[in-house]
Amino acid sequence: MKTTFYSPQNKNLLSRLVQEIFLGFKEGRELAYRLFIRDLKGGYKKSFLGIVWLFIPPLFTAGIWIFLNGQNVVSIQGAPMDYAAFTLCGTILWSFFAEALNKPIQRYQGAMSMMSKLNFPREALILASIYDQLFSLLLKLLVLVPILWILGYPPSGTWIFGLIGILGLLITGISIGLMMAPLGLLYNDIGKALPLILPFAMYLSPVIYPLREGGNFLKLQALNPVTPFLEFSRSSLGGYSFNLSHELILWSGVVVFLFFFSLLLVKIAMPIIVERNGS
Amino acid sequence: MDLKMNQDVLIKVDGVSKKFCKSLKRSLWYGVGDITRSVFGLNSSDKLRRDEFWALENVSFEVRRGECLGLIGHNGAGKSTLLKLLNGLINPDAGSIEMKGKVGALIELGAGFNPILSGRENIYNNGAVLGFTKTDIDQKFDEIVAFAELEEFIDMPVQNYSSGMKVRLGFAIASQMEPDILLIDEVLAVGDMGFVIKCFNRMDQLLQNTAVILVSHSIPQVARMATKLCVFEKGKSKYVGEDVPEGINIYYSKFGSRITNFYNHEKATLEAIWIERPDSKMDEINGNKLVPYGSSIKLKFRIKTNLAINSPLFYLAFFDREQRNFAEVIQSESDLISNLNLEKGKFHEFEVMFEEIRFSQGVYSITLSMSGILLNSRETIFRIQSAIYFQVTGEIHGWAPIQLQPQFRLVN
Repeated sequence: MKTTFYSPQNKNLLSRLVQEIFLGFKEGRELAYRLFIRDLKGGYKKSFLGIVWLFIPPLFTAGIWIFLNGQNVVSIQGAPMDYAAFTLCGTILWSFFAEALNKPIQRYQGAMSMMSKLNFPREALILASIYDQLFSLLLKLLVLVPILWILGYPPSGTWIFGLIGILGLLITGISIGLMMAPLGLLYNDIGKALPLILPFAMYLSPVIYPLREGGNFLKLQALNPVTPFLEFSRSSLGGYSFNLSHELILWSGVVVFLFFFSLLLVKIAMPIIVERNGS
Repeated sequence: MDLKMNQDVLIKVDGVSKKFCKSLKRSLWYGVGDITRSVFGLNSSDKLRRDEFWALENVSFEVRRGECLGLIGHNGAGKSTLLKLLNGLINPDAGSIEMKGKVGALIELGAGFNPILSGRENIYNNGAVLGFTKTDIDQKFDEIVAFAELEEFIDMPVQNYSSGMKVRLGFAIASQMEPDILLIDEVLAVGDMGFVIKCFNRMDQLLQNTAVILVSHSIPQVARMATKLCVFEKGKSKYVGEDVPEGINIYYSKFGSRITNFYNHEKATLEAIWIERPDSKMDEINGNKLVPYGSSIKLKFRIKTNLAINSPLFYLAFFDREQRNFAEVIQSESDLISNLNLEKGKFHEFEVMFEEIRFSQGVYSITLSMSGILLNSRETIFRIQSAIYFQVTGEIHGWAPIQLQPQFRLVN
């Protein structure tokens, strides 16, 4: 028979935590899927256009960039591919990252009252965040692929590498989101600051402009975990050469470590957060 | 007894304590500190920090399979906190908890419901939160719907359900669990009578093979289900044991004496009211007069008349803790004292003899009202709600306030 111990002494044994996290993901699969379906259905049932709304934001973004490009209003030199396509890829990939970063806190907040009453595998919420993002990715690709095609970039085999970069963006976003979750669930300040910081971070990353060759921006790019993954994806989609292999490998390692660390962090922090949030 | 020893201990709580913080700002800040310390593997201090108090202090008990432990205590005594600890939602600050087997909780019914989705979809949502797989629910679906009696409305959005319907659906899903340990927190206090009875029957089935912890303020419910009792006061367990009537007595006596307002009515004033036992001295705990089951009592009261009152009549009503009026005394005009003429400005003392109080154990109150003829017509002189409290002690405790013990005889 399964025996569970709760005491202040043994709660932080690493082996026990790892085992619990693993079990949490295993047992939480079904719940994660239900939560994902529930919120997807729930989010669009009460609207006339229904799931059409899912496609409207990315189409809008794409439309704006194509329009601006056509008018020659914005022109940034040195883009390695058609500027409209370049920016569209950049913004869509960035927004995918930003959503992934926000997702864990949103999921935890949505389930807080449930967490303070019932014991269910908390990892299901992380898994549900990942499901949310995979679905969001699907929608984004449904918009991105045809438009890239129109702009002269038909699908090719190298696009597979694009997906690897996207996976990097997903894990980076989720990990940072999880790292911030404990503090963000105790203090609302994080939630208030994120919408201000993220656009700023976007302009500091090579999203709507190409990589810099030198200067302070180069240093900043090296410190930005998003840059190598985003560039890797975009270069695969646009078929231009990728020069950040070194950074990509380095950051992949860091991000994988960060992901596992963030899982441990939320595992340890969640009972304390539930206690402080009460209800 | 031997049989009992064979049953395995499923819940073992040993010296458990938990701190809470009164100030929100500090609580959040301590939270950040606790998380940081936990991540670096440092043990938090077991002393109280500023604004903290022990929400639970040194609680210990064991529950075996087939037993039901009732947790009773005032609001804020720490019952729900203990359930959260047992359920693993929060960690203890001291002591240890050992839970064997699958834990089920009837705590929040209908968790995970999305109001705009249909009952059908929400059965799957709630089921997933409770740990059922889709196949489990597929199999149990018809049974759940039938139990909740919602066949007709199962495809309607849950937001259009009445609160009773939501609870019914929630209970129907949760009661499909087959746990080794079941935690119950006040969930059965809802729904209409028919459904409550159904819930109890289902609970009785679950109880037999489960270790149950039941939190409730409804003492009749606890008395009905519990085989063991733990009485909480301010985070400490004041009583743990298998003598359920004794535990209930302790709980009731914690309510202490109440202040009754003696209103100075313009026509007459109730100066004093008290209870005596004709045969012996009255015991008292925390200001509650103790009346052993089956003993006789004299209710006495003294009235000061401010007007001349003719042919006074009294009305007495007995209320139990749930404020149910379950017994009354209506004095009729033919009664002896109704020919009295009470002079103005004098004290008048009355006595009412009650033979053999056969009440279930618990605290009761008496409401006293008086009427009399002023000039030509009968008028109410005063009515004093819960003029006096008393506590019935003894072994007998049941659903009904009045517990009869008739003689049974085999006649054929």
